Amino acid sequence: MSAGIAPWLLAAPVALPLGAGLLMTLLVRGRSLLTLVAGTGVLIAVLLLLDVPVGTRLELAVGGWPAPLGIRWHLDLLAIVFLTSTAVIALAVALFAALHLSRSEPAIARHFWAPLLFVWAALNALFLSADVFNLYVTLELLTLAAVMLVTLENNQPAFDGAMRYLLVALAGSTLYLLGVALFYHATGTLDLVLAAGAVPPAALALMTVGLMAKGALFPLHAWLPPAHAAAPAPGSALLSALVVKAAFYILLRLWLESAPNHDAGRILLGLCGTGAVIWGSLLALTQARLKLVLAYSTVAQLGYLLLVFPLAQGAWTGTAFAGGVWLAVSHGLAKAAMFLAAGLVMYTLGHDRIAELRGLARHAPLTLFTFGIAGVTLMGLPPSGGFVAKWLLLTAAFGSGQWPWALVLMGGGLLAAVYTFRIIGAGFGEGPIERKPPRAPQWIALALAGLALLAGVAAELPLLQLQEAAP
Amino acid sequence: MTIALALLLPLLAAALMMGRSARPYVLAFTPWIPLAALPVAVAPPATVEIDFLLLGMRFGLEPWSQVLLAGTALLWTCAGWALRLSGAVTTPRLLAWHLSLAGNLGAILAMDAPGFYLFFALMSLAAYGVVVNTRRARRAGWLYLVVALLGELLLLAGLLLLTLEVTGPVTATLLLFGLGAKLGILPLHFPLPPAYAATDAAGAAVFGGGLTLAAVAGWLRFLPGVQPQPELGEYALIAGLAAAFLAALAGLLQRNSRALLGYSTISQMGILTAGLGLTLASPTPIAAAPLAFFAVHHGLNKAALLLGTGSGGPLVFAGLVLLSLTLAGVPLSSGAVAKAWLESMGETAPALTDTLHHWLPFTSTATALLMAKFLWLVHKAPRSAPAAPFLILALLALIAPWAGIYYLHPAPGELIKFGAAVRPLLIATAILAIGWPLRKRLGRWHLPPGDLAVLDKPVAQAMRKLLGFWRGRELPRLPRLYRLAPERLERQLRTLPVTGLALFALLLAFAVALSL
Amino acid sequence: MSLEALLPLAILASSLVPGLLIVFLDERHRRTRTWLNMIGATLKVLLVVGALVGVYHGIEYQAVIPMIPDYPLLLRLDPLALLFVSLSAVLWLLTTIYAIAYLEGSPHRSRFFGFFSVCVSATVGIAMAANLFTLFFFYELLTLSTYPLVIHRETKKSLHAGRIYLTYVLSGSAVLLGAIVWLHSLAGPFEFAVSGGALDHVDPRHRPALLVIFLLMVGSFGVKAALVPMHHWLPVAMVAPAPVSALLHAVAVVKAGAFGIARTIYDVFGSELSHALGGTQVLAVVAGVTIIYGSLRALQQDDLKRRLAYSTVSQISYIILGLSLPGPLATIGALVHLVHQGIMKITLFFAAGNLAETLHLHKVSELDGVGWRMPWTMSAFTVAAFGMMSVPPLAGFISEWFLGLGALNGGAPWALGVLLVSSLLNAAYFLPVIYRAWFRSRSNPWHENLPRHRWETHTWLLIPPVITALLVIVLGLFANGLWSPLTWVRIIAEQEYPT
Repeated sequence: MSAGIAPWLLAAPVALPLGAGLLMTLLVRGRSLLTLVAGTGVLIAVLLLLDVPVGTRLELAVGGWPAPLGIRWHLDLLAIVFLTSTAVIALAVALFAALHLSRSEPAIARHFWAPLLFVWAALNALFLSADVFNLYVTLELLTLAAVMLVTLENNQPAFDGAMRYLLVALAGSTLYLLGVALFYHATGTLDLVLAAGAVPPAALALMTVGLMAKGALFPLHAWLPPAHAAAPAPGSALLSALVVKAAFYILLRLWLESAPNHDAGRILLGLCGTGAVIWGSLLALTQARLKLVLAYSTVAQLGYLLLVFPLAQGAWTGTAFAGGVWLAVSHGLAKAAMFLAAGLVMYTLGHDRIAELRGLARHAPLTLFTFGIAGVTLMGLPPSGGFVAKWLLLTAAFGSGQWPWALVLMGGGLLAAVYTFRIIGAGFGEGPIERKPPRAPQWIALALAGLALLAGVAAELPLLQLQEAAP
Repeated sequence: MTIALALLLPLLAAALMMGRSARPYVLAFTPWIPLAALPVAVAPPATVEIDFLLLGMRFGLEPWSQVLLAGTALLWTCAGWALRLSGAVTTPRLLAWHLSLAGNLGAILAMDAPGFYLFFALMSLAAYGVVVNTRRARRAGWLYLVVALLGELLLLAGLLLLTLEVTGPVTATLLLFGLGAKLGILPLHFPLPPAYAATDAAGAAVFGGGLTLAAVAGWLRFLPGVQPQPELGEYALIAGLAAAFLAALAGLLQRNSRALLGYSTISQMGILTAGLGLTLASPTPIAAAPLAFFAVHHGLNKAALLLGTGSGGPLVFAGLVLLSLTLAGVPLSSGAVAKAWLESMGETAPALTDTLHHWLPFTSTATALLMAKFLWLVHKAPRSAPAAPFLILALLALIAPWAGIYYLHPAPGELIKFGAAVRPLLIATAILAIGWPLRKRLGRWHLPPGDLAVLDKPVAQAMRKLLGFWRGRELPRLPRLYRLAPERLERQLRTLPVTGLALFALLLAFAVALSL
Repeated sequence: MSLEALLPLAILASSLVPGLLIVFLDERHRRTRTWLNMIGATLKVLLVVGALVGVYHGIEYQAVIPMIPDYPLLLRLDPLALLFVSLSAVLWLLTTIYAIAYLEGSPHRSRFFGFFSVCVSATVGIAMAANLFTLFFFYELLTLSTYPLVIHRETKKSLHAGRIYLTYVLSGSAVLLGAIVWLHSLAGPFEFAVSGGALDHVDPRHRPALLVIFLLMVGSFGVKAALVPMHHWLPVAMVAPAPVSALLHAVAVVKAGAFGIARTIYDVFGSELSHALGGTQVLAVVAGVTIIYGSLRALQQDDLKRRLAYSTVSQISYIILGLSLPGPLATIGALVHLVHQGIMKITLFFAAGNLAETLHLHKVSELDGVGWRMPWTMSAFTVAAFGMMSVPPLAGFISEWFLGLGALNGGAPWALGVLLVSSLLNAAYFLPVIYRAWFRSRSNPWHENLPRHRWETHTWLLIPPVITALLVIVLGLFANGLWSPLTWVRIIAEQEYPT
């Protein structure tokens, strides 16, 4: 790939959605179309970027300002993986919304596009960022756009959820910013790679806790379920599948690239992850509403991601890293599919109470099937990406002798099975429906779930590369 | 080949029973089918090996099994004739008949263990269908089946051990009891008398005649593999003699002529067992010929006697008397010759031989008394079936063994011992004379056929109770642990003060962890 | 891709592709569905025949699909795999024919047949797996694809049965995954050994860990194989339609569990190491207990399918008992029983399904005189039942013979005792059924459920059980023949015990 094309290719994933989002203020009709066009453009750009050989770090100095002052964007394997999966998920969600939202929630359909595009742009910028302050900026943009998504529904629970989200996110941002200050003060730079090894513990602590708050990582997770459940289905999909991954991404970069040698801290992260898995799964079991189950499931799955930190040590760094990244990708695909399907359930039945899901199997079998297939990823069963990720994490756990985390992984899978099959089992039998579910959106949701399933089969090359590219 | 013909004909007959139109023809041919085995018995072909059947099957005959086969064929023919003449025969019974015949013939012809087991099992299980021809016969059939199955399992265990060439007392005991169940070896004897009593003449004939011959064939074929067994041989001798007397005693207390004959079989087979024990204990190979001859002599006689219980008339009674005398061992009869031959077997184990020599004559006494009671019972309650099959079989029973003895024994003349045969009968006559006036009083004493079999109801009830008692639940149900408690806690966590608290607590934790 | 790699994949695809297509097919497209099914099933049988010929001539078939670095999906057709694959292919074809007739007129047939086919694909995948990763991969796929079959009727009982099923099986699989990864952490990535074990290179210091792993692995395989006390799901799952019970209990789930144990003992640990570790002794005792317990519970059941379910619990442990006893004779008995029991059990379930579907008969106490109303069905049942009782010359006798020899040869005469007692118990719970069917007469008229057919019931409901009953006879009578399962199993045993 010649260097000439690369810079604007690198800029496209951010510029396209950002530009489209800004244009939304001008457009009255055709918003969905513009979104789709922009989204497709992003996807193409990302796919072209895939051609870049592994290991190279493409750099783009925005505005011509070089490091250490200017904004620099990096493209390495981790970034490209997240960029690709985000593009796929976001485009699918956009397509779903384009086909379905105007029918199911006409009042808010017009207002959905801008937040989607801003979320997407913020995410892409975040993935490309190379320094902590940049990350802060993109993170803030992301939070604001995400809050917009939560408030779309225009009802009390939405406002409550959004408010809580905003407050917790702000607290998190504050802490993070404090951490950044300390970071800069101690290392003299904002660049993650350049500051490697010199990050002071206080900074790391502040930044981590701030990120945990923003990313709904146990025990700071309680704001997530009401917020995600109150958003419209495509919005929830974006939130649970993509937005929460941002915090994890930054944590990965921080702990693995900049501050690698804090064993006790990693164990603490792992413990929080364990708590998330157990607590999230337990609560998912008791929920009466489908969307809340899915939201708590997200809390639990994020806990898995935290397990990467204690496991990515020594010879097993690559394995755990690959497993964690793949888990994030698979979960994103699966959770998006599930939330989209949940939206279809609400459309078909008029509600999402689990106790009254009967009739889904008969009238909306594709939707139920989507839950099943996506559930396979959550449970970590073959042939899904979740299984592959679990295998890698377990290998790292046993290989490094840290078998207690293995128990958490296995137990978590079982718990996921319980709440997944609770949903699926509830769908059988005879029951009334309000409307017939639309075909194309069902297929989109199913396709996403199918991708999560196939993420296991087609995984060898990416996994190999991830293993080698581990920081 | 002739062997294939002999075995396949009954199987073909059984198969034809499936088709409604062929059934009358099968019934008509029933007496003729067993005759196909006679040419095989008289002029046996070379050993046949069929590798691909079952686990590799081998068929063949030795002199002693030739005699067994001939006897089997003859008695099945006459019994089949009686069956046909008896009138309407149900389809299941005829089917079972032919399957049992096939099994019987095959058991004698088979030389490999799995093959023998195949035919023996076929014969045993099909015999259930032969015996149970009426509703009343069900209990007897059930008793028979339980012991038959038990015997099959013991036999299987024994054959497995034999295949692995484990020759010890365990193997020998298993074979002894597994096959002996058909012969009424104590304590597995109790189904026999009720079975004899419950079925009709033809069924009893094959049951008492054919099955015993097959079991003896099994003994003689497989026990040589575990020789010598001194302790077991001694046990068999003593137990056999005990059975001979006890069964005779029990038989004396019967009111049903066929049940009595059942006890007679147990008694006679006890004698056989004693002889077997003798030769089992000696280091020389088992003397199969005398045992086979005894078995055939008994088999033909007993089958004829059983057939005769179905018929009436003076000719029949005369025949029954002759047969009874033969069984008791009247001089110049095949019975006497058989017993004499048995006695002459045990040259090499002096102590045991002495025991046998001492007690064997008294078994003749017991047999004579038993047969006297039998004749009395038959005389009192005549039957009406056609007599032709019985008469033919009786003739064969009196004459055919002589052919056998000349075939098997180099110098049969040695075996005719007048004095030794007469003495026990004189004693028996004396006892009869003494007991005759008391016959009415003695006749009131009665033992239910099968003696131990009276326990069947209590045992069955106990087992049912045992099983039903433990109709337990499966694993305990897992308690439903989750419900409201986590939800309440979560609501607390959601409030902002608590979230803030969590924030600072976490911060502190990280600060500590990172500075470690 | 070479032919050697294509064949295993083709065998897999011959049921996977039709299955996936059928799942999404509309209910109305009956003929398409039937065609897809039959083509797939027939194709699979043909491919298996081709594979048999090829392996006989020494060709090695192997396919590799990369998945995780160092842990590819590895499919190989070794003799043991072919044994299981052949069984699955033949019985799938017969069950498909049966199911098409059985489910005539019932809803959700596309879903049923789709997952049915996927289920068989998973089974042949398990059979052909040449490393633990692949085995686990298809093992879980089997779990997932059988769930919709169990809950097919969608009644409360069915859903409850599905929940129980998943609870047991998924718990087992979680343990299995942990054990497998643990083993790999000690031994590195490895394939199933052709002869002997694959763990000879593991440090002897890890022996205690290996024992624990062994027990965990056979224990979790034992969940699917219905070892006591993890057997409860099997009788509960009887609410599924008869074709499901037939497939589950003859071929797919329980056999997969037993097969997993076979692979663990022979191709992962190797028989020497398995016995040296001491795990097989524990397994043998558990299997023995299961044999007796299953038979005793079967005696108590009046519902015919539940009786057959407990009989399966007992019979599968015959296989496991044989696997856990040392020596080639026990191995031969176990593996040949894997085939024979499958065929006998499927016959019994076909017959039970016929009784339920044609005459609404579910309980043993209702079966008086049914032999005369449905002679072909009950004849097949009788043959298979006698086979279960190990009556020669039927197939069950052959396996019991070798299991008995193996028990004695392996120094475990108590195992022979267990087998004999179980035969007796088998007789105790099968003979009454046969007796009632043939020797008792019916008092009330039959409750005819189906319209009258030319034969006693729908032809396609009759052909499969008659064929399998004939197989029971033929496989026993000609056990020593060139193409019998026994001969094939002897080859496998020779490979495993080279001396």
